[in-house]
Amino acid sequence: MAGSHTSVTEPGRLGAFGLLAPAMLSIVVFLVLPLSLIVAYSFLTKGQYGGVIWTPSSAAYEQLLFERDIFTDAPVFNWSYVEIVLRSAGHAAFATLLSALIGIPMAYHIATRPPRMRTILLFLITMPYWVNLLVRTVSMLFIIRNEGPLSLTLQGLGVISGPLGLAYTNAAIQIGLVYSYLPFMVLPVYAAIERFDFRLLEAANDLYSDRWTALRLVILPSVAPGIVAGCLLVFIPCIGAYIAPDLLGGGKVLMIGNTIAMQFQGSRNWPFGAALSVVLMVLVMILLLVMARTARRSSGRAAA
Amino acid sequence: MAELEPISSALSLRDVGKVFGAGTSAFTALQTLSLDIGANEFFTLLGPSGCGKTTLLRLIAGFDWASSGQIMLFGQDIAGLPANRRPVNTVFQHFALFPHMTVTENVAFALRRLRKPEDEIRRRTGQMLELVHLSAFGGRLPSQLSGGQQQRVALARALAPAPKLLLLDEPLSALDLKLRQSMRRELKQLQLETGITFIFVTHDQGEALAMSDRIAILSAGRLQQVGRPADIYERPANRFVADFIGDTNLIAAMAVQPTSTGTLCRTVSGVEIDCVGAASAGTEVTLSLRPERLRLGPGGLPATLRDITYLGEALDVVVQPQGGPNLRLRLPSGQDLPTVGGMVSVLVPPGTAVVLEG
Repeated sequence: MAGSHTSVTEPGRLGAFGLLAPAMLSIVVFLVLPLSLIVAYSFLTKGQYGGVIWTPSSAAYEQLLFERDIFTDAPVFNWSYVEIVLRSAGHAAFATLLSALIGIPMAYHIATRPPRMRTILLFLITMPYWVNLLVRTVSMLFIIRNEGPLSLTLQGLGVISGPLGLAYTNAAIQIGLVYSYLPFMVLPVYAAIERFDFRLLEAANDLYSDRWTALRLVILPSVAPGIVAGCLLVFIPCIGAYIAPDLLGGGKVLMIGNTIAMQFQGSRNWPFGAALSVVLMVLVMILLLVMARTARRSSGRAAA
Repeated sequence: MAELEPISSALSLRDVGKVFGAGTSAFTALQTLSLDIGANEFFTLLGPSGCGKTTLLRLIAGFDWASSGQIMLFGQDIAGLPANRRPVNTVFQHFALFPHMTVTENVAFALRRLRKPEDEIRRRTGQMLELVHLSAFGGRLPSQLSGGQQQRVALARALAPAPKLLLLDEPLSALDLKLRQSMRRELKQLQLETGITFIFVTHDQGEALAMSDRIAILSAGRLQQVGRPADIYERPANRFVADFIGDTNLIAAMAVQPTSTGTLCRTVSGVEIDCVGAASAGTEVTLSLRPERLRLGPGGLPATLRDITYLGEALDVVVQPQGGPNLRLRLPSGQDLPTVGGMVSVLVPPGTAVVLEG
C-alpha cells in the first residue's frame, strides 16, 4: 500500500520539476556557469596574449594587495587597488545619497498625486529606459562638455566666464551615475509611500505630533524598507559602474568597473580581472547579508 | 420644545460652517449651526452619509478649518489651533493604529509627544490597557489583534492623554454585529468611568438611541433636531427626523384648531385626530404616527386588513382606512386577526399623532 501512496504523489512532483526545469536550466547556463568560470579563472595563471593557462595560481589575488620589488622580487604592499575599491565605494555611496535626496521627495510627490497623474508621472520616470544606457551617457557627455549647450548657455548668460570644465571630472561621473540609476530609487520608495495609509498621519497629528515628528515617527518607519531597497538598487550597479566613469570621467579616474575592463582588454590579465570581479561580488554579497540581518533584527524586535 | 440645557458647556459651537472650494465650485458641506454640548455628555451626531456629521467632527478635531464661526472648548476658542494643539482626541473609523508600534507604544504615543515623565507614561499606559481589558496584549503589534481588540487599543490610545473631549468617528462600523452590540455597552461604561465628554458620530440610529444622552440629527449639511433620544423619537421636529428615526406613518392633514394638549387635525379622508404639537389653524401639516402606538380594537376607524408579516416577537400589519392611505401597525404577536381582506378597527390612542413642521 505504501507503493500506491508514492505513485499518487510522484507524478505531481515530476510535473512540478518539469515546470521548474526551464528556469533552472537558464539559471545554470546563464548564472552558475559563468560565475564558476570567473571564480575558476581568478585562480589560474595568465596567458601571454590574454586567456588563461590551466595552472593553479593565487597570483591574481596577490597582485591585488602586493607588488614585486623590481630588484629583490620581494612582495611590497600596494595601496593602488585598495584605493580603487574604496574610491568606487565612495562614488557609489555619494551617488546613492544624491539619488535619495532627489528621489525620495520625488517619490513622495508622485505618490500623493491623484491616481491618473501618478500613472503619467511614473511613465515619464521610466521613459529614459527606452534608450540604451550607452547612448544616454554619450548624450549627457555632449550636453556637459565645454563645447556643449550647457557650457555655451551659461557663458552666454554670463554665469561663467570661461568653459564649464565639467566633463571628465568626478562631478561628471556623479551626474552620470545619478542620472542612470535615479529611477531605481524612485520606484521602490514610491511603492512604499503609495501603500502608506495617510490616515495614520491624521492620527499622529491628533495625538500631538507636529508635521516633522509625524514624518519621523510614523511615515519614515513605514517607508524605510522601500528606501533601503532603493539605496541597494542604486548602490550596487553604481559600485561596479563602467560606462559613466569611462565616458564622463574620461577613464582618467579608475573605478572597479574600468579596472576590470582594462584587465580583459589592454592588460590581457584575465585572472586578475576575474579576481577583481570576485572581490566586487563578495563586497556586494556582504552588504546584502548585513542589510538582510539588520532588517530581520528590526522586524524581530517589533514582533517581540 | 422643552430641551434640557446643560449646566456647564464643554463645547460651544457658534455659527460654525464649512464650505469646500470657492466660487462656482464651492460646496457647502455644513450650513452654519450653533450647538452646546455639556460636560460629561455622551453626545451623538446622527445622519445619513453625506449629511455633514463627519465634516463637523473634523472641524472640532482640527483636521479641517471651519469656514466660519467659533469653536469654544470650555470657554477657549480653539478654531484657530491646529489639531496637534487641541486637547481633543479621536477614535478613527478604521482605528488608524500605528502598524510598526506595539500596543503599548501606540497607547503611550500621545503621552510621549506631550513629554510626560517616563514613570507617569508607564503608569498611565498600564491604566489605559487595564481599562480596555488588554493588559496582557501590550507587547503585540496591531496586526496580531482581532478587530474588537484593535478598536479597544484605539480607544485606550485616544483616552491616554486625558483629552477634554473624545471624538468617535463611526468607531463601531468596522466591527461585526455581535461585537458592535457588546462594544456599545463598553463604550457607554467607559464614558461613565472616565467622565470625559464623548462626541460620537454614527449613521446607525440604533446605536444613537441606545448610547446617547443627547442626539443631534443632521441632513444635507443642516442641523435638523437636537434632543434626548426619547424626545427625538416621540416628538420628531420634522418629516426627515420622523422618517429617519424608527418606522413611522406619515399622513397629510389640515390643522383645524388648537386644543389644550396640541392641535386638532383633519386627515384627507375626513377623520379628526387630536395631535401633539402646535400648528396654526387652516395650515396643511404632516402627521407622524408610530406603528407600535396604533392599536386594533372596537370603536376605532374602520379599515381593511391588507397584509400581515410575522416578525417573531411582533406582527407587521398593514391596514387601509376607508378613503385613506395605508397605515402600518406593529402589534404583539399571538393576536387573533381576521384574514387578509377582512375588516378591522384602528385605534389612535391620545398622544400618538405628532404634528410635524412643514
